[in-house]
Amino acid sequence: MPYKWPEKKKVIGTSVPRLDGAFKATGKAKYSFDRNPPGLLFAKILRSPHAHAKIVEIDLKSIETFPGVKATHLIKGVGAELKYGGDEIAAVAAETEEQARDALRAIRVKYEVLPFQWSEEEALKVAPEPKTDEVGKVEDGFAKADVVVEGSYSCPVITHVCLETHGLVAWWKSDEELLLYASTQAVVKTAADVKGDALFKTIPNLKVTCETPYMGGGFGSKFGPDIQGIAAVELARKAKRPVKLMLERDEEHWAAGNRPSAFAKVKIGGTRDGKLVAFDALTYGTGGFSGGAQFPLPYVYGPETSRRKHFNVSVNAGDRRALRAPGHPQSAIVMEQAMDDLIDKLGVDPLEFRIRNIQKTGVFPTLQPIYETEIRLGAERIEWKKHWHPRGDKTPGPLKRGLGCALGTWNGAAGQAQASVTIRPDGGVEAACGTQDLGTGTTTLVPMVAAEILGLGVKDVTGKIGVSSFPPAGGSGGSTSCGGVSLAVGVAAMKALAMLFEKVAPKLGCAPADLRAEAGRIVSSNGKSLSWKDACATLETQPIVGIGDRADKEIQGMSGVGVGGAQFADVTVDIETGQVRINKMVAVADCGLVMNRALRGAAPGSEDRPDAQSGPRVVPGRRALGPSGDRGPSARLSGARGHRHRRAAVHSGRGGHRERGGQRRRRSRGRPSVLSAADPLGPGEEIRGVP
Amino acid sequence: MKKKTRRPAKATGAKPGFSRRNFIQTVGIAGVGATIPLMQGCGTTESGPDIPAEGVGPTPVDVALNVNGQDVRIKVEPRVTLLDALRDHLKLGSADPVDLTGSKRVCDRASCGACTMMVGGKTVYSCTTLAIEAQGKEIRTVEGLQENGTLHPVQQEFVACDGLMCGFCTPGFIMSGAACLEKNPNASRDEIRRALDGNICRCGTQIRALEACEKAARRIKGRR
Amino acid sequence: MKAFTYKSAKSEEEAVKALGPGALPLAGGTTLLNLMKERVVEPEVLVNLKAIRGFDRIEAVSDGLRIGAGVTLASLLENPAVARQYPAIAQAVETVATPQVRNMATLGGNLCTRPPCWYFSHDLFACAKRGNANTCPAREGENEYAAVFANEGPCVAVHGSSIAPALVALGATVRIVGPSGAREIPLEKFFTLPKDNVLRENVLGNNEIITHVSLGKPNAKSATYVVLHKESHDWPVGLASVALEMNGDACTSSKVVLGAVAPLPWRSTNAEAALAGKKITADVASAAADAAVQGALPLSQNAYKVQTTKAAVKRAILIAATGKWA
Repeated sequence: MPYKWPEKKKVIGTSVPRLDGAFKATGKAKYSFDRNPPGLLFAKILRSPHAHAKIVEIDLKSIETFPGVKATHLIKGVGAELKYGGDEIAAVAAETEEQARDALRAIRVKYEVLPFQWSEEEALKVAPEPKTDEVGKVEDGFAKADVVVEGSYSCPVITHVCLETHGLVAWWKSDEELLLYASTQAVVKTAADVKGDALFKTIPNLKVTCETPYMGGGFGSKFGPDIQGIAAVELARKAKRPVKLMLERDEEHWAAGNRPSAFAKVKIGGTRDGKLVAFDALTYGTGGFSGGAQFPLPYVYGPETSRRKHFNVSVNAGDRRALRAPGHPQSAIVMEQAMDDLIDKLGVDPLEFRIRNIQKTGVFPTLQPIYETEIRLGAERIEWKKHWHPRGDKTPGPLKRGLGCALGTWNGAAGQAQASVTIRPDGGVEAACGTQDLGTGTTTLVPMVAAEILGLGVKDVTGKIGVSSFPPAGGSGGSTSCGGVSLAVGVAAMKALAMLFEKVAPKLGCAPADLRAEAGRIVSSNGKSLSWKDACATLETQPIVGIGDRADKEIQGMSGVGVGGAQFADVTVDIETGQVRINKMVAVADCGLVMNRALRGAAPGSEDRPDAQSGPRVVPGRRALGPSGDRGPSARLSGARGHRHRRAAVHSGRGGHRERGGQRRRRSRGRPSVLSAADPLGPGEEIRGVP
Repeated sequence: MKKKTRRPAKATGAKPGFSRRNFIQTVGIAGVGATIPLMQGCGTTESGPDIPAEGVGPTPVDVALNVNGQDVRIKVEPRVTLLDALRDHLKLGSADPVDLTGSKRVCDRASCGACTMMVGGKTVYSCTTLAIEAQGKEIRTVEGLQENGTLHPVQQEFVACDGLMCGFCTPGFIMSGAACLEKNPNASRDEIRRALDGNICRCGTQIRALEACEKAARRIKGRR
Repeated sequence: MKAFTYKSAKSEEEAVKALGPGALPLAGGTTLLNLMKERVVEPEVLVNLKAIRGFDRIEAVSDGLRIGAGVTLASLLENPAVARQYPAIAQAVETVATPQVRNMATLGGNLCTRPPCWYFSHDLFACAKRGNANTCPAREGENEYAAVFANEGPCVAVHGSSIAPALVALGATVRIVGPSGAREIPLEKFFTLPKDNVLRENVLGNNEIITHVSLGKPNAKSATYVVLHKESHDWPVGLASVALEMNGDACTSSKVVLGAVAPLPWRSTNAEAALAGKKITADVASAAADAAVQGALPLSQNAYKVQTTKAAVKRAILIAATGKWA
């Protein structure tokens, strides 16, 4: 029998303040960086000072007797190639952080400095064969166009700037039992990666557990132990003491991943009656030394004909990692600016042109009406009719104001997850899932879903997440956790409830199918009922455990794929000073079934703003310069005053999610509703802008 | 360029060619409700254990700190920051560990505010304060904001307004907000925003952090 | 940081005695401690100045204000006399960094701050200012924030103080103490060019410290306009401090001092000449702004500073004269 969400929801969709809010607000929440087990050692990593080099000589022995040093570990030895400034070479663990840093500086290494590539333009000349995708023939498309516009658009590399840096505490409880407190978006995978690492996989009966109840941000960059984590585990094993290795801020910029750059030369054509007829783009970007910098184009819109040629370019800099909707910000930056340039020359309405030309394939036909609604809602809230004008604010003086609009999309399929729901004879309930809470609200989501199914209040359920030995779930990336975890917990609760019904039914003189869980009671259609506690007492001594698995074929129509969102910006530019001020932003996101109304998500426009870049400067011959030191390591994130007016309306366009062939349920349009726990596109409830 | 609005000094008939007496009169009265000494910073602001003329260190030295009303003794090198001292050096080898990891290390360069503590009543970046400099001063961290198990109004509102996500910036924001409202419970929206200028959030909670502080201000005023 | 011995001076004499080769003074620490973390500055001894008696005192003196070098930027900002009588200073101070930094940083420390240059601040790079003669990675490298005046070398970084231009415009003096006693000099003479001694930004000797900054008669017709890309916690990319002497509507004389464009606060006599004897209007302010940037020699990435500086000069003049620039 297919599982489904209850028709009338009592918990899901209500407002449940984060269960971990008070812990975070009081400083009691323990992050990996905060763990201080007895006997703790502090470790640091030695990194290449050169953009490209080979190790000729390295002497770790001499620092083994340095004050406080308890263990050293060679990551790359003589002959190893170092591909970027920041590439890991060795690690050292000492009694104090200061001693570890001192020892690090004393390690003697001889390098053979090799030719390096730092310029994306230069590297383009030697890039591997490009990939070309075509739809129709662009020459025909351009022939039809009334207006053709050419332009170049780009955005630089930026870094994730998770506030909690990457790293972990490694604690060998015994020769065969390892506990990791890792700052990670994937507790299960982190534990598995350590266990499977060449250094440890031959240890018989090795049990590795990763415990991460709180983590200070990942944004796509924390999916495993990384090289520094493995080094910390090895140091801990050698020293026979727990080791904490958390990266410093500059290391984050060099070596903990980045969002690739994007450069695009675009030719785009349209007709005066509002059709996008041709799109031709030559693009490249760099993801550091591995080169990958792909991003989808055309994006959201479906030109009648298109051609796109893309080069992945390698430079000697740190490697890319996924950063919030990987590829899509670059796509939006290129596509929407090209669209704006074309719209301006065509003299057509920017919103109508967008609505008219959304792609007609894949999930987009479903998204079409959603985009239309989102654009209407957003335009109202930003007062588009009142403030929009064609390019060129005629207001006298140097302050010029304008409005913009952009659309985005994402997949967000419910990810892999298993969960268990345990019902105890004393009435206690536990819902457990080896997932993680990045600030996304999973801590609260898990007990909410179980409570919904079991007819209980959230406080009646103990939620357990963040430990890799719980039923496994995938990493929290790509907006997959909320869907996957909800389904797994929901189904686990349904199964546990079904088992409870088997026990209770005879006591109420009915069949299990006659029972329902409601308001803390098990109620029969024959009028009889038991309180939750009395119902659980029928279990006598045996708790019930229901296991839910996202992969269960009986799960149909409980989640969906593919979302679309619209954002609007009201911006003032001082054309004498070049200052850009955001007056207001509105983000309208399609989020389907709303799980928790209290979670209000992220403010729109945090990344890729003119004042919000955290990209490293690449300097010839050296590491990419982090914007550290004088300009501050988090230099380009704007402070409180930079986030002035924000207004976020959320519209759940399609109502319930659906998968192929499933039920589709519409919510009333226009009613603002709050984001589900893990929507990447942005914010929550409609909130008043701050004037 | 906006000028900061100030409460006007009480008129004393001050004339140009400001005399010392006029100055004392006006400085003595103007302000934001807190008493300002007649001449700011008369005398030394430091007290606490004397540092001998030959100096201390570089090896670890005894440092006595007053944190959240509690006396805490550690032995650290002079180069250890107040932040690292409280986060890392209190528990080590201690029979009765004090847990003060609420303040976070994020940039370690006086850039992000996650390490914000109050020292001598003012918010500072504890990552750029030496532990040894903080002797003799009243140090308050996020752990010290609660009173008898009740959350400080700013903490309460951060929870109620959902002014946090991953939570790593939260203690710093709360300290900045609490300090602002302690000094000026009538702080305007703009003044609160400016008080939060030194705190950065990566998840994107700034607006709700501001909202939380505003609501806390109303709550605090409602109590009076 | 490299390990160091920590001393604390209770008087100017103790401070001078404790300083010397290998020793550096510690005031707010917001510049020094972070350079030490980067290992670009490695003193063997730190001498805490904050315990010096009276170091953080602001007092009215016969003709103006005497500000202890240990006065924090926050205290300066909160002082009603400063806000009312020397608005150029208050307007500069409120743009500096963040509330926390302003609570920690001192006026003396701000005047002695090291250059905000990412090559200087990182031990990966050889740099003339840190002792590698004739090496300036910024000149041909990432020089977006570097100087457009007096940038022939050996260092092209700008001076990091947003407050110094205002103090120079208001005719401030500084009192310096050292082994040979105390002296008081105009602040304008305190700063030095890289070509005179690239290792320093000012005239202080190793054992010397600033003890006071003194301001003469108040000037309410003074203003500072700062161009910042981020609304808080950013370095200026254009800055002008202006102090006007008016006779009715007309400006009899002025001081126009630029920040963020040179290795020291940059006095623009060209701009001052353009104002002399004129009634201050938008056109006159624009002409002075154009005059102020004459002779600027941008590097490869900082030509925009010509434009931001012009805007800053024009707006500072108008604010000083009329209270607003638009």
